[in-house]
Amino acid sequence: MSDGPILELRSITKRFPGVVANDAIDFELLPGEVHALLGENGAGKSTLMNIVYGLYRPDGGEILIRGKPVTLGSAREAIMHGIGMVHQHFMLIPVMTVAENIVLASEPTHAGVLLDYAASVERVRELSERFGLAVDPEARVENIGVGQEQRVEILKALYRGAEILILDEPTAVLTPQEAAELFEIIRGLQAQGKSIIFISHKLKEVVEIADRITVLRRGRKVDTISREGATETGLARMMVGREVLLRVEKKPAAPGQPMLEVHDLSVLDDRGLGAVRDVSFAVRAGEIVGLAGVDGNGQTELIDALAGLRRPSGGEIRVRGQDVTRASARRVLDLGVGHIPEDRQRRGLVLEFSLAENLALHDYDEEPNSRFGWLFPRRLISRARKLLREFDVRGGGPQTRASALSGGNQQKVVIAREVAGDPDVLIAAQPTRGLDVGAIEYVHRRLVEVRDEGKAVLLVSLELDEIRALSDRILVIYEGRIVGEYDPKVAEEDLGIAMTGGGSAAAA
Amino acid sequence: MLSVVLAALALTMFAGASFGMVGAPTVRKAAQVTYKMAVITDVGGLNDHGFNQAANAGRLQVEKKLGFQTRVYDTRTSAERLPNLQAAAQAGYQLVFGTGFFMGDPLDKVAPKFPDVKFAGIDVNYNTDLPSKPANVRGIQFKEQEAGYLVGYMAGLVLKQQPGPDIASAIGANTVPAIVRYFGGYRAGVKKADPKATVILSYANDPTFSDQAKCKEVALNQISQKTQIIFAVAGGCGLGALDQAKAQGLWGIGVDSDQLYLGPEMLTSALKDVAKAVYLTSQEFKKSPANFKTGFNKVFNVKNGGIGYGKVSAKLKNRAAIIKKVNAIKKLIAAGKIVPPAK
Amino acid sequence: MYQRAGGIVTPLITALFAFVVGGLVVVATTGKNPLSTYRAIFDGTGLNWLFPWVSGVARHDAALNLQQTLLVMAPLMLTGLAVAFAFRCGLFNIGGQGQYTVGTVVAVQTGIWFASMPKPAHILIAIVLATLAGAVWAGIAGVLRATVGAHEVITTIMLNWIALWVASYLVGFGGPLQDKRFGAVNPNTPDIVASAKLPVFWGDPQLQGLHIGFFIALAALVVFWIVLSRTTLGYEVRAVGFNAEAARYSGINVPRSYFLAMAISGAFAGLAGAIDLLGWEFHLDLTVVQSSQIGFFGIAVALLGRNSAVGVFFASLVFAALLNGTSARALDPSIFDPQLAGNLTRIIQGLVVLFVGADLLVVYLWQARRKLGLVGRDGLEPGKEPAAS
Repeated sequence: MSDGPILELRSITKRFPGVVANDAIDFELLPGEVHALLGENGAGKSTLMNIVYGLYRPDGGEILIRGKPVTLGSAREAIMHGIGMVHQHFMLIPVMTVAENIVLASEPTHAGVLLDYAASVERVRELSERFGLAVDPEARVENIGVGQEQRVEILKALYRGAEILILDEPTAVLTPQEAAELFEIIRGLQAQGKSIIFISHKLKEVVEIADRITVLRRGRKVDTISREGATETGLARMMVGREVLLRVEKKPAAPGQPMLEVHDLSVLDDRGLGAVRDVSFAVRAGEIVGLAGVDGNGQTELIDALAGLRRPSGGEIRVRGQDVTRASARRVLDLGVGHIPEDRQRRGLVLEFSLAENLALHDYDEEPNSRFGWLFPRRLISRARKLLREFDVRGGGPQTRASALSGGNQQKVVIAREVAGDPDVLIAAQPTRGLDVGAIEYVHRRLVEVRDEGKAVLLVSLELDEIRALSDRILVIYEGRIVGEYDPKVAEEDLGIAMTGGGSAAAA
Repeated sequence: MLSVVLAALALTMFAGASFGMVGAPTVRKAAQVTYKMAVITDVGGLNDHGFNQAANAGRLQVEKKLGFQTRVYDTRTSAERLPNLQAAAQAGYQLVFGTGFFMGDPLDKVAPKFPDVKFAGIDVNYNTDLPSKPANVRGIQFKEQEAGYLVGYMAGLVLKQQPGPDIASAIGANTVPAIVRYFGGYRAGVKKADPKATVILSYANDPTFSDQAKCKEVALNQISQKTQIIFAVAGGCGLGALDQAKAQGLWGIGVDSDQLYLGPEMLTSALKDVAKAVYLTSQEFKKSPANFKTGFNKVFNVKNGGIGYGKVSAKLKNRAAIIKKVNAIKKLIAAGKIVPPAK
Repeated sequence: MYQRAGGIVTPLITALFAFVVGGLVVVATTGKNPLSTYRAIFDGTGLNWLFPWVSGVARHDAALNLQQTLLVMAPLMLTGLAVAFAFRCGLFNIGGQGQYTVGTVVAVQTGIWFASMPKPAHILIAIVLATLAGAVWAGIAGVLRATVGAHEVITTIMLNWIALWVASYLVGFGGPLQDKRFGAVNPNTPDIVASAKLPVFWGDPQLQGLHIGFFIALAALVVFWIVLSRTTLGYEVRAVGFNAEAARYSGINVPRSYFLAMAISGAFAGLAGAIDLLGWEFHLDLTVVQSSQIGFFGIAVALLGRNSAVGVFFASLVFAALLNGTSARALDPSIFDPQLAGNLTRIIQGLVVLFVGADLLVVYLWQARRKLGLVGRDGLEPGKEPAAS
């Protein structure tokens, strides 16, 4: 860490109509440093980085690279100054190979018009070995996983000569294993002298990877602190601006009757292959059962089957003792099963609908919302007004479109709808994915409240912390089978091993 | 130069002003009486290679040779048939043609409202297509059998002079009366020239007159029966048959308008001269508008020039001699010495 | 805001643009002053009837023209609704033409039968049966989509052809509906009886005056709006249209919605056929069966009208006005070659459709802009969910 900063932002201001996205933000990045930019959704992190990457022009302030003021009018100029950015959504061409993607997206470096493919493959291979980013240069992008795609994006930036790498929420799309691998890569890059800006709203990983952390809140810089002095609680307070409970406070569970029972359930996936195999478990009233597992091990199919969205190929599902194995989604709902779907924007909400309409998705066809097929929009609205207040949904009224809300508030709407129906069983699939700290806290508190009201809650999540914090019992699913049941106090390592197929079932 | 521009400008402005009065008679005080005639075409357009186009061609001749002031109303949808007729009548056109038998119904309704205007319906049968029998409408019909007879006679002569079996054929789209009449004349004509000849008559059963594949299929069937000459009486459908004849090196005969432009393999065409019918009718009107008779069917035939045959292929052997013989027959028909059968 | 106003503003602006460009075509092809042509087109639509200062003969003519414009507008509204309703359920109903044709066939036959029935009952039964026929016809595509997942674009196109050829057979030579009087010489049906004809409220009943089908179409617009926004069925249809996956997750029977949306769409188109037939056509002939474009225009009407009731009203007015304004009656042949006039209609129609496409592109870009965070309060964090404020 010699000399001065490689990148320095002085008093950067960016206004959008009605909003100051960045308000006189100072920021500096030292050579060889991993500098995390932390903040809730909407805090101005991405705006700031898009200014650095030349996508936006600041309304005020200056940018210095290696001490010299520069204007970055386009991504091209940013790249010329050695800045590379890996966006949250990858920009790769699926039908092309890894090497083609890396080479073609860069400035032309080959003489003539013909692409020297062998040489490209060679250079990509060389690059990937130097930085420890294992990829197959000749694999087609459509055939590689998300983690690999991210590496391709990083390689693309390195290939273009990036000294400063901006990673925008890089772990949002990764499994815990992939995230761990990414951190190894980041450390490797750091060792080779690259400077990295790491955008995130996840406290834990920020504390783990960053040398220094800059926290933004509502377009302003709160502070820059070094890792040594940082605690998750302290960072959370800086982010949200108030005290945040990171630990879930809950009383011991008082389980009652089994509400949801699954016996030898088997479910096929879309390709007709077995996704869930002979699964049996029960969720009792007043307990939260966590289902842990790496993504793609049958969780989606299991939830679909429980919610009546997918016909099981064998076995039995009972809700309060009633057989619902072949029931329709509507009947399962009517029997008292609430379902927070894993992808709220695709499955949980009709984004073009108003909040009132979204809140009525389950019971629009019941009195008092409608009678004999005639809908009463006013009644939908007045009920929505009540629910929005009760569930603390901010950013819009009953007639606001769902798409206008932030992710956290959207999720509150989904929860409001599912909980308002007073279900006996609540299935919550990844209920906090993509949410920031404040919203996560809220969702967790609500789930515990639901439990304490005596409902049975099945929580499916990829976040081990969440599972451990909320569950009263933990089931691990691996390749469609329940491979073990654990006490929530189990060590994270043991869970991780079970989730990847190792270890044997341990009794709780 | 400037004056031309000014004149053009004035003209457009005048036009713009007068557009407001769509149906109103254009005020034009001319020294001598100018007659006004309009043609209302039916759905299909002015380039339909059929009677819309022919009727419009007739209108242009009327304008040029008879000095009428004319206008064509191109009907694009069935909803425009009646309003177009009405607009023409209202705009002061004294003689209004509607083309095609679908004009029968609108004529039946519009004509009674404009007793001072004379209407003529091409292919409209006064006796069957106009239930209210409006007094100021004239049906225009054609003796298709005479055209069929002429081209049939020529076909017979060609069969006789060329090697190969003496077989001729005809393809009709459907059993429409006009096609039945063409067929009757055709068969009689071939037999007259070549009594040994066989005549094959088939229908493609194409109600649309446009399905080339159907006529082509029938043509192939006839070719397998060794026909040497194919008379296609089927509008657009017939083009499929003529194509097939051309491909096999056989003679084809066109229908309604002169179809020799299709190629030198076309022997000739049976003409049902709609343009001439428009012209002759207008001429009759000009002679004495007051005595222009309506309330009946005017029949066009060889004698009055509404029926005939078209240009003859340059490739034909003994062309002059054959044309001479056909013309002789034509005279006999005109004189009523030969009466071709109507079926 | 742009979205809301789109229902009214877009069709008008789009049409205006099309006319302006059409005018350039006029200048380029004829060298004539396009303003006079516009004037002629406008007067041809009869909309000048609305101006109080138009009087005398001009007023009489304007009335006749406006009657014809509204006469065409009525079925266009309905075929526009036929496309729009399915669209609101996420379905693209290309089959309006076939559904319309089926409606005309059923209307003509019911109009010929039941000759002894009193007028209102006869009209009612003819309309109801024709509407049902359209619903059944489109319902076939709906069932196929709901059960085996056959895409409605393919099936409705195929059903169009089936309707076309079946109707051609029925009214054509030797067909069971052909007029058998006078030796069955023409490919058309007999006229419906007087008791089945819709009353004419403006203009001469003998001369294709404006019939009450216009009000039926207006009522259909209201029904369209009510069904969509005030019934549980409409709620389901919209939920499925916006996000079928979310609808399915909340227990809505998506296949059932597909079926019902198609059937209702078809009902609108069948009704269009009924009012055309009972209102002014009175019989079917082969050219009408084969050359009618009313159902296809419905697609453009719905697109231009943004699938809303108000939008469809204005879009159908624009199209009807365009059709009538560029008719041979409106354009003086000495200024405008009659053959060119026909092409001008097509040019302007093409431009309207093109601009509708462009308009959708504008809306898309507008939304994409917001998503990319180039503007507004939603744009603080590009690529992420918009922030609450």
